[in-house]
This record gives sequence, C-alpha cells and structure tokens, in this order.
Amino acid sequence: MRTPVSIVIPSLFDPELFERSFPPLLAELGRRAVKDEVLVVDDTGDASIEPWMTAHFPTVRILSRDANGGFGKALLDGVRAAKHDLVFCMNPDVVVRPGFLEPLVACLDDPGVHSAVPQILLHGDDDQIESVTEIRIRQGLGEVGQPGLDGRASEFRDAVIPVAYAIGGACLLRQSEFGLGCDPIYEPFYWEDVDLGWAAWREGREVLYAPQSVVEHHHRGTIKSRTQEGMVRAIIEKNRLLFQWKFLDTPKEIHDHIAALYRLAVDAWLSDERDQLVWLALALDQVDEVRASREALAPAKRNYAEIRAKTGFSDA
Amino acid sequence: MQICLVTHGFPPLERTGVENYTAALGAALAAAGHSVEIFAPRVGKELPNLSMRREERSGYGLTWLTSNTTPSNQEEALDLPGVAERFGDFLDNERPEVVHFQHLIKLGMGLIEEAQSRGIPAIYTAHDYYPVCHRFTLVRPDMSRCGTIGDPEQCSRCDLALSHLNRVDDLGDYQLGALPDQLDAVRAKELRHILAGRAHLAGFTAQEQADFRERRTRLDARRLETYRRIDLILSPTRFLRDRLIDGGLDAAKIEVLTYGAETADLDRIPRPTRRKGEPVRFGFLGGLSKHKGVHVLVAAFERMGAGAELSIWGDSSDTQYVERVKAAASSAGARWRGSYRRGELGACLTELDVVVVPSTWVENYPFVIREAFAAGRPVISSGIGALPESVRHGVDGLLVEPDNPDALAAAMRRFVDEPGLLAKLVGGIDPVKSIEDQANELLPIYARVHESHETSRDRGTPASLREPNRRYQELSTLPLRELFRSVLGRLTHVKGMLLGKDAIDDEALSFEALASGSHTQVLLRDLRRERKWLKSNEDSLRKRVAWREEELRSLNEENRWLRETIDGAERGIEALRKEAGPLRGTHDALRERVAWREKELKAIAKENEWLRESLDNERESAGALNEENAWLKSTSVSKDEEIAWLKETLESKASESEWLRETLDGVEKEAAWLRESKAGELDSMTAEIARVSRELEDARTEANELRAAVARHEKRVERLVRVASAMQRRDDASDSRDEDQLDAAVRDADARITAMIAELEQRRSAMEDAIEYADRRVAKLLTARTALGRHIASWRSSDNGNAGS
Repeated sequence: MRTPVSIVIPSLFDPELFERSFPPLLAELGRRAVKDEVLVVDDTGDASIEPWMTAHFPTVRILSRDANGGFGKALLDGVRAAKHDLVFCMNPDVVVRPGFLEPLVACLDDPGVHSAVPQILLHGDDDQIESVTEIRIRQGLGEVGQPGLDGRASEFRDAVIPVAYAIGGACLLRQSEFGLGCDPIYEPFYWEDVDLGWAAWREGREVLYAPQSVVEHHHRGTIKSRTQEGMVRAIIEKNRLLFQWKFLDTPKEIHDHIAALYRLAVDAWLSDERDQLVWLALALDQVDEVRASREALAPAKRNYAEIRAKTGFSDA
Repeated sequence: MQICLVTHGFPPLERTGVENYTAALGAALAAAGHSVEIFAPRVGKELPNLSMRREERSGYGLTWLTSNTTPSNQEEALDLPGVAERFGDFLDNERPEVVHFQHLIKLGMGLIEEAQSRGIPAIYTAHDYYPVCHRFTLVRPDMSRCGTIGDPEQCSRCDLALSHLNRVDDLGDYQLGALPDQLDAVRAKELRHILAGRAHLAGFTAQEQADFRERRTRLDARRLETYRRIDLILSPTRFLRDRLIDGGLDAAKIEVLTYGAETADLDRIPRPTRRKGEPVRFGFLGGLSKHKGVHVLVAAFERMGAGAELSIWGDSSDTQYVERVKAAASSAGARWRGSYRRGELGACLTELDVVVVPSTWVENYPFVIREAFAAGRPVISSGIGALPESVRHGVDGLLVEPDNPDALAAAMRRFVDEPGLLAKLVGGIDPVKSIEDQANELLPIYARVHESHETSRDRGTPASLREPNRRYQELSTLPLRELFRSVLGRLTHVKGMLLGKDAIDDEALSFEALASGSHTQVLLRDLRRERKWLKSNEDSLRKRVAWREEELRSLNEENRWLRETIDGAERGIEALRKEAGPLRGTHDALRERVAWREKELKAIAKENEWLRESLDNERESAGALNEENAWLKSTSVSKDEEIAWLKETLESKASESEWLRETLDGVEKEAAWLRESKAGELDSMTAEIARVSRELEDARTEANELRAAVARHEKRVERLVRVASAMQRRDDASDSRDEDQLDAAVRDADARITAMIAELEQRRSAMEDAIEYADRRVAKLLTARTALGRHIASWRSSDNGNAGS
C-alpha cells in the first residue's frame, strides 16, 4: 500500500510558475490516488495567492501567512500544517516527472534515513544534476560542492547514494522530525537545507540521493528578482560562514578556518574587495546567535571530518 | 553621515573661492561630527597618472587624484579619460551616503554617473554657469556679456572665436577672451564677424562652421543631460537659478541656498572709520582675470584725484593681463600687493576701508563680498548679474554701472567727498552667514536626499528582506578601512567561540593567514613576475619606441608638408573664391537671362501654336476666299454677260427708242395725217403710247436692279479687302522664318484678290457708264414721251375741238 504524502510549497505570488509546475504535479498525484495533498504556503503577507489558486487549481490547499517571513518560516508553517507525516518540500519552480515520489518514499522506509532528494535536473538538462551535494573545504573555508554540475552527472544515474544534504527545493522528510524547523540564523534564505542535512548526519542519520526520482528545476531566481543581486549573494556567503561556525568541531579544521578568516579579511582590505568584508561583517553580526545554536547541538555521533568523509565525492 | 565633497582643486595647490570654500565646508561638516571625504584632482608629474593618495586633514580625509593629462580636445575636457573610473574606485572605498559636487571642471561628467550607478545621491552647488555655458561665465570672447543661453549656434560662435584668438600672439589667457585693445583692427573686425555669425568673413569655411556647430550641440547636450540627472542643484543666488532654468534644467530640482563664509578671524577686525585728512583706502582682493575688471578699477582710480588710496591683492595664471594691470596700477599710483593666502585675508582687510568688486561679467556670489562684510567693510560693486543680491545700494555698499571707469570713480569719490557715507554703510552691514551655519543648513538637505533614495530602494522589497537589506546597505556604505577595522576587531569573537580558552593570539593567526595562500600575495607575485617580464622586454620595447619615434618624426614631417600643401591649397582656394565673386554675379545674371529666354521661348512656342491654329483657320478662310473668288469670278463673268445683255438691251432699247422716235415721227406724221384725216384713229394711238411708256418704265426698273446688283458686288469686294488686310496683319506678326510658304501663299492670294478687285472696279465703272448711258437714254425717252404726251394731248384737245366744233 502506498503512503500518502503532503507536498508543501512555500511561495511568493508567481502565477507563471504555478501554471508550469502544478499540472504535472496534480496529474502525478492523481495517478497515485492515495489522498496526497498539495499545500501552498503563501508567504506574500497579503494572501494574494489564494484567489488565483482557487480559480485555477481548486484542489490545492492554501495556507496564508500574515507576513512575509522568508523560506524557513514558511516551510515550517507548511510542514506543521501538513496532513501527512511524509512531506515533500518543493519550490514552485520545480516541475516533477512521473513516478517521482515512490523512490523517495522507499528511501524513508528506512528509519535511519532522515531525508531523501530526487535527481534534480537543472533546467531539465539530463547532464546537469543539482542534488548530488557535498561540503568541500578550500583553504580553510567550507563550500557546497555539486559534482553533478561539474560534468560528472553520468556517475549519478543509478545508485542511491548518501549526500551531504537534501536540497530544500525538492526533498522528502518526515513531519515528525522537522521539530522547530530550520535554524533561524539562516534567515531570510539559503543554507537552511544544508543545516538540516548536516545536523541529521551529525546525529547518526543519513541523507540519500535517489536518482530514480526525477524532477526538473526551472531556475527562476524569484528572490533575486525582488532584491539586489549583491544582497542575495551576501546572504548566501554569510550563511556559508555561519554554517561552519555552527558545525566545525575538529581542532585542525577550526584552526585552518580561523586563519582563513584573517586572510580573507586582510586580502579583501589589500585588494579593495569590499564584498568579502561585507559578507564577513554580516556573519560577524550573528556570532552570538551562532554560539547559541552551536551550544544547543546534541553531542555529535559523527564529527565534521567524518561527515565529510561519508558524503564527499571530490578531493578538495 | 558619510559625506563626500568633490571639487576641481584644493588648497594649498589651488586657492581661489570654490577651493577655499570646499575646504572650509569640509572642516565645518567634520566638526559637526560627520565623516567627510574630499576628492580633488592635482597635477603631480612625479606620480603615475590617475594614481590616488589619501591624506588626513583637520577632521576630514582628502584624496588627491593625480591628473597629468591635458585634454586634447573638447570631448576630453568634458570627460577626462580614466578619471570617472578612478572616482568609482574612490566611491567603492569610501561609500559616502551623499556626494556633494562643487565643480566638475578638470574631472568630467562621468563622476555624476559613477555616483548614480552606485545608488549614491548627488548634489551639486552651482558656483557659476557651467551647467548651461561651457565657458562658465556667460562672457563671450570679445568680453561682452552673453544674452543667449542654450543656443548651440551662438555657443559654437564662441568656439570659433576662441579658435580665432588662439592664432593671436601675446593675448595671455585667450580662453577667457580678449579685451578690445588687445587686438589689432583686422583681428577685432574678424572677431566681430565671427560672433555675428559671419565667420566666413574671418576665413572659416562653411564646413568648419558646421563642424563646430555639430560638436557644440553634442557636447552641450551631454553636459546638460548629465546635470539633469543630479538629485538636487543648489544655487547661491536667484539670478543664477533663473539662468540655469533658462538653460534647460528642471526648476523643481534647483534650490537657492546662500553661501556661508569663514568669518571667525574677520569678525574681530576693527571697523573702518573716516579720519579727517586721511585718504579713503580702497582695495581689490581676488583673482586677476580680465572679467574681474581690475583694469576698470585702475582706470577709475586714475580719474579720482586726491583723497584716496588703492591696493590690489591677487594673482592669476594670465600673466600678460597681470603685467598690464600692474603697469597701469603703478602709473596710477596704486599699491600692488600681489598674491595672498586665506590666512592673510584679515590683515589685508585691516588695511582697507572699502572693498571694490569691479566685475564686468554677470558675477554670481563672490566670496570676497561675504568676507568684506564679515570684516565690516562696505563694498562698491558692479550692478550686474547676481551682485545686487549681495550688495544693497546705499545700505551696505554702492552699485555702479559695469565697465564704466567714470561711474566707478564717481562712486569712489563719494566716500572722499561725503564724510558720513563710510560710517553709514558700515552700519548697514548685516551679520554674515558663517560656514558652520551653512553646514547646519546642508545636513538636513543631505539627509532628505539620502532618505528619498533609501525609500525608493526599499519599494517592492519583501518584508523579510528589508532588515537584511538595510544592514547590507549600511555595511556597503561604510568606508572600506572602517569596514576592515570592524571585521578584524570582531574576528576574535569567532575565534573565542570556536576555540574557547585554547584561542591562539591574533598576531600568530594573522601571520599564519598571510603565510598560507594569501590572494594579495599571489597578486604581488604576479605583479613582480610581470615587472620582471616587462623589464626583460624593456630593451626591445625601447627599440620599438625609438623606431616609433622615428616613424612619428617622419609622420610629423609628412604632416608638416601636408599642412603646407593644404595651406597652399587653401590660399589657392581663397584666391579662387575671391575670383569667383564677380564671376558668380555674371553667372547669376546669365542664369537670369537664360531663365528669361526660356520663358520667352515658351511664350513664342505658345504663340506659334496659336499662329499654327490661326494659320489653319486662315487656310480654311483662304480656301473659302478662293471659293468665293472663284464664285466672284464666275459672278463677274455672268455680270459681264448681264452687262453685255444690258448693253444689248440698251442698244436694242436705243434702237427701239430710235424706232420709237421714228415711229413717233411716223405717228406724228400719221397724227397729223389723222388730224387731218383720221381723227378717229387717235385713241388707238394713245394706247400705243401708253404701251411704249410702260416698256420704258420696265427698262428703268431693270436699270435700277442692275445698279443694286453692282452695289452688292461693291460691298462684297469691300469685305474681301478687309479680310485680306487682316490676314496681312496677322502674317506680319507671325514668325516669318517658320511661315515663308504661308506668307507667299497669302501674298499670292492677296495679289490675286487685288487684281480681281481692280478688274471688278473696271467692270463696275463700265457698268456705271452703261447705266449712265441707259439713264440718259431713258431720260431722253421720257422727255420724248412727255413731249409726245403733250402732243397727243394737244392732238386730243384739237381733235375734241374739232369734233365738238
């Protein structure tokens, strides 16, 4: 018997995306016929999605937030409101292919698996897989690696493999394990999903990549269209640093990282690279919050280096 | 607030009004607790072009941009190559919240665009007319005041005039213009021609004039468009504001804000008083440029006579003018004091009672007036431009007609002649706005403009992004060194968080950081390698440079030869042009004549057409005439016959008459006989007479009819004569060359008609003779008849008597 799934889609108002994403999604859920649900979390703050959705896709549930709160908060509200334990988190710019749910549900049949991510094809291109992820360290600074985008997509067609995290734009997880949701240090967006996956690994769980499940990511940069590109990049880079400050736990990596921060600052100053100093300054604004998050972490069953070893694909 | 001031020069290298004002404003804003960075260019031949050096001044930072490039054309003067990009780098480092431009000469329009592309609001204080006059001053090259703004045609004449003045030696700073007595009569006349739009009379070709016009239109449009993008323009006077609006700037973006002045060291100077027997001390302080009118002041002083002193402080790069004024001042007995520093201003003013501002241009808001007032010195000023907004006539100074030494001398003389005037005007001086006051006025303006930018940036941003966005903007607008200090200072918190009490010291970490893959180190290594490589290539480059220089020399030589050739060709063209003048007149006259001939030909062709039609008509008429002629001929023949018949008839009538006479004689005889013998036969005789009488009457009627026929013929002949005459006249008017045949035909027809007429005349005459003869005969017959009747009557009466008897 198939397990029903709640599809939770945090979104701003973008009818063009809805018209592209929803027909294949609803068709697939119809085919499954197990009372799956689609729940759109309206994060516009002005409940502007509901009238449009009721007129165009009346079977879709809408949860309107009182105020715009960003991806993490909207996702948390959606997961909490979901009817089913299995929740497929999805961005509105993702287009599913038939049979995308079953391989993911199969992964989560194993209670040791925290979350599962499908084969996410960038712009529908079969040679561009976004969802094979790792954390690389380059000169003491961590960064997300996506070997499926580096010409190695063919290596990730068949086997279910562990990955560093499940991309938040298309991943299956359990409502009961979502807890307090995403760590608010990453607000307003980006790196919440890395945090979730890494925390799972740290607790001894697994995050799997299931290539038999396929979705397409028609990247639209909805946030970038609403604010300055420089600011979006600054948030991503700030969160990259916060992630490391939260999880770094081995002396050598910490030492290398701190030295890298000093080098980064001095290099930026000497080369007039203002942006890097801004990223650092934004991260430094949140040192106290990170400290609290770090202290709230349960004792690690795997350390930073071990997780990297389990989820790594590249020689950094 | 982080404020950036931009100016075209800065003390101690440049010391005139705007530069000193910017320094004072920067210090005042910094003293009010704001972060101030000043950006200014300087020439520094010992430094790489476009390099930047920052200095700490009293409370503010000053970044010098080394600008060793002299603009090679007007385009470069408007956008000096590389300067805008370096200003962009400066903005990226300093991240001001507002940029307040004081002037853009020596810098370029691109600076405004650099600020705007970074979302930094731009304010501009218009110290002169530069946004609407590329000469800044509204002064034309003949030193007259310009009455037109924003007309590229007029503005291009200024360019042409400058190009003309550039050829004149010993003019000094020709860019400003030439005073009337600096030019010989020919040059002065040519200058007048150029400014009146007759540049061809000064040797400029139509193409050259068109090129100047096109370039001026393009450059002025570029300048104006850039100024239109500025968020706010501050004008110290209403006069200047109005001129900016006249020139096309948006009135809503221009606010009037008077300057403040550094007055602290001037307030304490004792006010001037008039002491009996001592001369009134007049003085000039400022730049010694032609349009400042110092030569007018010296001329006025010469006319003043006793009771006054004149001191002149100042200098300028126009050494010819300075020397000229200096010589004139010396000859007039004025004291030449030379240049002075801002710090010496108080001492200078102490030596004066009255400051004179004899400007000949539409001066805007001279700082020296503010400084004179701060020191309690009244001002005599030209009453033009915005000067009446600064000096109130009869209250704190006197206004005089500009460029008029007599008027200025008279005003100066009043201070000598009217003992109370100085004290009265000193008493009328209002407190002067200090530079600190102005800083306090500017700060809310900066905040308002900045806020307006921020509000527009927030519009459309989701609520969850507003706070991160605000913080991002805040950090992005911090000066780079502050940002670096802030980051470096806080990195230790991360270190403490991650390492706890095991933290290693910052110094060790810093060294370690720099020792392991520093990006800057990599860049420096690259630069060293590049330097090495450049050095290794130096020799070959030197050779190439030498070769290039040689090539350049030969090109210059060729260029010189070409120029000479062109000059020769131009001279030839000029000669040809002169020659072409009268030829052009002849050519025009010929062209007119040709046009007239063409018109005439058209009329002739039309007339020919009409004649051809007339000819056709006449041919038709001639045909008809011929027919008529033939008919007439035939008629003549029949008339001949008729006349012959009439003759015959007449003859027969004559013979008949003869016969009748004979018969009458016989009858008479018979009557006699009858009377005698056969009186009874009288009645039959009478009847016979009546019959003869009727026949005679018939003959008369016939003769009358014949006469009427002849009259009709005469009328027809007359009509034919008229038609022939009309044809003759038309023939005379027509083009004989084209109509020879017709002419001959007409002449022939005419001759024939004339002959016919003559013949008809003859016939008519003959007929008339015949008719006359017939008439005579008839008359005779009638007489005979009457006599016969009488005879018969007598016969009857005698017969009756006989019968009765």
